[in-house]
Amino acid sequence: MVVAAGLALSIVQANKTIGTSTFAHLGAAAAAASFLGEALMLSGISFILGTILSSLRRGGGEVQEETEVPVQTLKVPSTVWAFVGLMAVGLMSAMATAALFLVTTGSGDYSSWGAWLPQAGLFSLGVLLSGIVLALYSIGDVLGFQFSRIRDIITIGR
Amino acid sequence: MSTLAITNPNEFELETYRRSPGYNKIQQVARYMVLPSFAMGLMGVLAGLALGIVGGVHIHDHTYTAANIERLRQLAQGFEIGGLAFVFAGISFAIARILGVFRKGGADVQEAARRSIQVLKRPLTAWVFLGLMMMGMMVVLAAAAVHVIFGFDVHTPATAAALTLSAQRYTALAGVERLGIGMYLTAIAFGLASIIHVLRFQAKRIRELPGEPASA
Repeated sequence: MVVAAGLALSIVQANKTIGTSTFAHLGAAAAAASFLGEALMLSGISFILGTILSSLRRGGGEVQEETEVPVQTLKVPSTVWAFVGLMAVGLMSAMATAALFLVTTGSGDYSSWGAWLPQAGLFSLGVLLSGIVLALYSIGDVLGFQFSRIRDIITIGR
Repeated sequence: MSTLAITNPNEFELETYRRSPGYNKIQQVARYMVLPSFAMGLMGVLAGLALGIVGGVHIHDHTYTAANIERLRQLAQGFEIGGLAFVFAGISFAIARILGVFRKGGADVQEAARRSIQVLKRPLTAWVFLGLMMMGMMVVLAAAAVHVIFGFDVHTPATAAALTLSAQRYTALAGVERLGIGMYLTAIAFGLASIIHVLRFQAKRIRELPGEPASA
């Protein structure tokens, strides 16, 4: 919805005269909406990856319980903590960037802010994507542990 | 009401081994490249942000010329997009690593159960994933490098024509960046499709194992 709002704002902006304050305000609002919308979508992907990690942990435990062997699960790896931290930093910086885009257009010194706020938006998306890298890395670790656990249950029986 | 899943017997192309084959070469590379790509990506986007802030801080500084500001703008975007290229590479390597875990883990379990070890031949989706990922990486990294080259091509003092040319180049490169990121995202979609393919094969194989005689 926020990305669609960004698109709508861009269309409205395209119908205004270049160089006017309305044009600048609408451009800033469109950029804010686009960055915030993309960041929210990437956060959604991060939450889904977090849910997958939690399901793997719960499912692995349930299977071991059903087969009456000691239930072993991985301690939360450091990559998972880093993933949560990066997701929080990325989402907060995207929200801050969007807020700054909206606040600074009327400040009279927009050129100074406008020089680095697009970079700040890309930075927040980069941080969110880095969190996704660590989430996928953690899923690989958990799957590797679960395969080794199944092998142990088959060969050793516990 | 129960449903019955029917698997097409010709759906999976298989390789059979006597011992667990472990990771293939590409998966080995991916295992070692995930964290370095992640670190380089994070450093790249951070450097881009820092360069952008330097440009923003000096925009009203009269000792700073318009050429310096334009150069910083090109460099900031170059580092930012280069960082994103490495972050996307990190995601692709992480997906390849997961595919490797499935290959090795699935084979290890079959070996432990003393059944014939069947492993999927690399599916078409995995080839497309690899190709698009490499093309996407080359396109985005090339755009980042060209941003840096164009940045250093803005000489002090710059004429109005030189600044306009630099702005035009910046806009043109934005399209190249989007193309490369689009390739990366398509590659990631194919990587996830490969994971689905492997999961389907492993579900089928697990159903087969209890009814299959143990090998010597």
